[in-house]
Amino acid sequence: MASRQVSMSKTISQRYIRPLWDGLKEIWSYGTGKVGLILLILLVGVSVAATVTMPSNLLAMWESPAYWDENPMLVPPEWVSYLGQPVAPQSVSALTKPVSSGEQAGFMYYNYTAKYELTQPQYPQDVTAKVLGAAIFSIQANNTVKVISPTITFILIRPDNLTLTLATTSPTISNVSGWYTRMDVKLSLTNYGGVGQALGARYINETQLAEVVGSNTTLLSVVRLGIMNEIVTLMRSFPQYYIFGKLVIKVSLGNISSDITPIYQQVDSVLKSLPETAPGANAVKPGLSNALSSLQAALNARTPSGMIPYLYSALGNLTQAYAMSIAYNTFSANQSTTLSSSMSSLSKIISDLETTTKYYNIDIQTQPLTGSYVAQVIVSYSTEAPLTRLPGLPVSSVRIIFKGSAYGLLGTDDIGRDLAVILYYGFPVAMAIGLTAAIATTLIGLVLGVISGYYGGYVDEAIQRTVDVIGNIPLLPILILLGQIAELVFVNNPFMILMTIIVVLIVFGWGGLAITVRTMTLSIKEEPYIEAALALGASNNRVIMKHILPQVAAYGVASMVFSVPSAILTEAGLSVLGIRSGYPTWGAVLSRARDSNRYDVWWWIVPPGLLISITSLAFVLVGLAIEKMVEPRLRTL
Amino acid sequence: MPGAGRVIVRRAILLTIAFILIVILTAVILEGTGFAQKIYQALVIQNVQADIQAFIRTHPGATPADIQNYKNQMTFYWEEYYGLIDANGNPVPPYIRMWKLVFNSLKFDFGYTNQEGITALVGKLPPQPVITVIAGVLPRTILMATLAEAICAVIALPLAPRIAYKHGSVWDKVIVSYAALFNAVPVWWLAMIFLSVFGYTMRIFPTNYRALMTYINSYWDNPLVNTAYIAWYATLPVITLVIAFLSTWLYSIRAMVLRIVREDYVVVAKAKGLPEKDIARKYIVRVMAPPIVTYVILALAGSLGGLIITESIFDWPGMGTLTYAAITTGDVNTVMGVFFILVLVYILARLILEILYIYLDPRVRYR
Repeated sequence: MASRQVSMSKTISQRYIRPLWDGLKEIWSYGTGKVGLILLILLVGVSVAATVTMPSNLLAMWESPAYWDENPMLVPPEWVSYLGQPVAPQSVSALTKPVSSGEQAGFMYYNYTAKYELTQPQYPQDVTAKVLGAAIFSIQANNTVKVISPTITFILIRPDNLTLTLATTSPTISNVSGWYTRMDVKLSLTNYGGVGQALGARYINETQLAEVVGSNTTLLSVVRLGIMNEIVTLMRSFPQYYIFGKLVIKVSLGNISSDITPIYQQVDSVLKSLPETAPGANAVKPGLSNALSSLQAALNARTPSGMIPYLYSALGNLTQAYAMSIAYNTFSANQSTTLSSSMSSLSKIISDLETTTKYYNIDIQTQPLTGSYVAQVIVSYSTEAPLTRLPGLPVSSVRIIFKGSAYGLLGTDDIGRDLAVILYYGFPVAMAIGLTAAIATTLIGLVLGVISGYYGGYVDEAIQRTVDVIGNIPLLPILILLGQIAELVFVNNPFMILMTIIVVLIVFGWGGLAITVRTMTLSIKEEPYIEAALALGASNNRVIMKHILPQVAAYGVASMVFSVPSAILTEAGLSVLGIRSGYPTWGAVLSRARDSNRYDVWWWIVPPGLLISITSLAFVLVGLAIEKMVEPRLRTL
Repeated sequence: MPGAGRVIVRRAILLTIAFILIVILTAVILEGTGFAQKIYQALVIQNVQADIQAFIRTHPGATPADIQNYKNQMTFYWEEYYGLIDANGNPVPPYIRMWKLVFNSLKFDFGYTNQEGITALVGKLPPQPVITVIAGVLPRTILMATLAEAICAVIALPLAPRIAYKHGSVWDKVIVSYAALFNAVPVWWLAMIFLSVFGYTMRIFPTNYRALMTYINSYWDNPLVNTAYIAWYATLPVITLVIAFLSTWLYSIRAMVLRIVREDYVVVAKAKGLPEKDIARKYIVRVMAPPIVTYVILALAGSLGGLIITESIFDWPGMGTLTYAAITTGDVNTVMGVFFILVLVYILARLILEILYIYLDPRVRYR
């Protein structure tokens, strides 16, 4: 028994392993083959590693934005910092224990803290926090059920010692089952007003402001408020520039004289067009000329604070003159209208000055503020809550996330997916698609080609006509059509959609190989040794298996190696078009970049395409080497 | 040449059979899988809904019964229009619609398209005859894909044999490396990268190629300016395609030449001391002709189908975009029309090749 086994393993080794080893050695002897084989070994290695470590929920993970919500969106890889681009790092702190806790004024505090160092001048994308498993109590007090929920405050202490209260929330649920329940709370900047105020209070340059506005406290507070509102408005679009920025606020006076001058001219024209003989002219004229000199004084004043008294005085004089003119019936209808309109314009200017920032240009610039940041999440409960009865702490854990301006090895996409992770799991899928399609296509092509050439007759005719049909049909449209149908039929079944694509590739892909193999078989069939074998009584099967298949197999292997990349490229192309199976393939990553029309995001479109190209290249190079073995005429002399 | 005639007739018959089989296969895929049925039903519901909306607007006092009545009427109308039921209201099974599709196509009657996304490709409102749409779109694909293939042919035909002669030289290695590399790089990805670099970043070339239509449609208003614009639009896509395709062209033709150069009779001719020119003209070019002509003609014929993925990257309004739009909107008539024309062109190219072979390959003549 033992010897038989030894001989069997010997046969296997002699028949299959030895030729395979020799073949590989020969491929290795060509330059292209060497590069191709190295690439191929790497690809297989990564694929195996990715298959082993692949999470079972990969598909759900890929489609779920919640899974990636701790990552920054659409940021480049971290290594761009070596290219001279300043980078704010990513930092996630998972805290299970508070840094400090204690009781104060009837409240129990739990304080969770995370530090963040910003060394390069760049804005981090965001800062958020997650409070996981915060307890909410339901207690009986005076025969009523009282729900006690925590107050959670999210604070950022900046390197400039400014403390920003980013958010304050008190999560609550109406029906607590049992005496307590736990829930998760997500925190991010919501307190825009408070943050805007704090930033304004710190960064408004009071000296410069006083130079522009003057000493009028009403006007000063109006401008301050206006600046803070402006900060809040800007912050809603780009919060990170303000949370992590130092502000340079410049206020300058707008064109107020262009509004006062017309009033001056109107009053002046009324005064000049007033005849000496008009009734009550003597009573009206002094008011008008006083108003004119006040307006002139206002125009000469440097700051709005200086203008305001003169404007009031001008308005008072005009009002008085107008009242007089009505009493004496001094003015013509035209003059009367002019004067009243100039009065209303003047009072509009005064009210605009006193309530708005219409006459100021506010320019707010931000710069990244480097240094140490401290983010705090403070969870506080009223001491009524039965905290001591709880198993463990009232909060299971707190995660404080500083989202960087760059992430990981390959950056992230539009929902924060780590592209390195996604592309890594794309390896086995790509290899599986390519190899399955290639092996099946080659086997069918080889077998049908040999049968067609060896047996001839009706079988040959049938196979050739089939090749005529599948060889002349436009493959890509058929793939799109059937892929579309598969998407309709197999909703939420990525495997079947992918299989449909592979099967179509196989069904329409074997024609070319079959025709070549048929031609080769036709010439081999005429060789004398086949005739000899048949004369010795060898069956057709034996002749095919022993004498024909081995000769065409080498060609088949070359063809197989060449058809791996075409299957991978086709699947990726279909994904880019929108025929997606649902697997996180390289093509699917590219297609998302295309769908969002972001050709400018290089880390989104270059790596997947490169991986597709490198994988294809590995097979093409090995194929070229095999082709040289099979077709010696292509060899370099 | 009685033998050659018989060969051609036989091939013509076989190719015609293959052609008809492909048309039937396409119809089976469209109708047999229930794809068209689903699309038609969706269209009926959509149209009936639109009709009811219009009815309610124009007849403010209509009772629910009136509306229901109108709905039934319109459902019947649209179902008959799309061929789901016959004039008596009996449902038409898919296989009958399938054969109708086959026979109408074989009569070159492709019907009309009602999809706005498709007729917009020729700047018109639906309904439009399918053949008009295809005729309007085809020149744009010729401008991109066929032109690129033609440029490749012009470059590769003189260049590849020279490289093959200098087999093993630095140039040969460069070309083989280039061929291997661009065999592996997807054309459409190259298009994405070029569009990103030259279109979005450097702003040398346009980023939205749909606008090309305007210049083609109003070409005769100002031919000079429009020619310049069209050239500007075509440059980047054509360059992309030439870079990608030239690799395959050079490598394939080089391989064809190499096989012949290493044949024994060429070696013998060289050993006899025949001048290189004579060897090239009499011993090599003559033998090379059939495979190379095959390659060129099939490449040009195949290019008419357009490059669906690359066209979609550039949003180039050509055959590829039409095919894709037709398939995704489920416009059976257009899908059938496009397939029919493409396959017909390809099969005709094959037939022309068979005829050319009589002149190029004496073995066919005396078979």
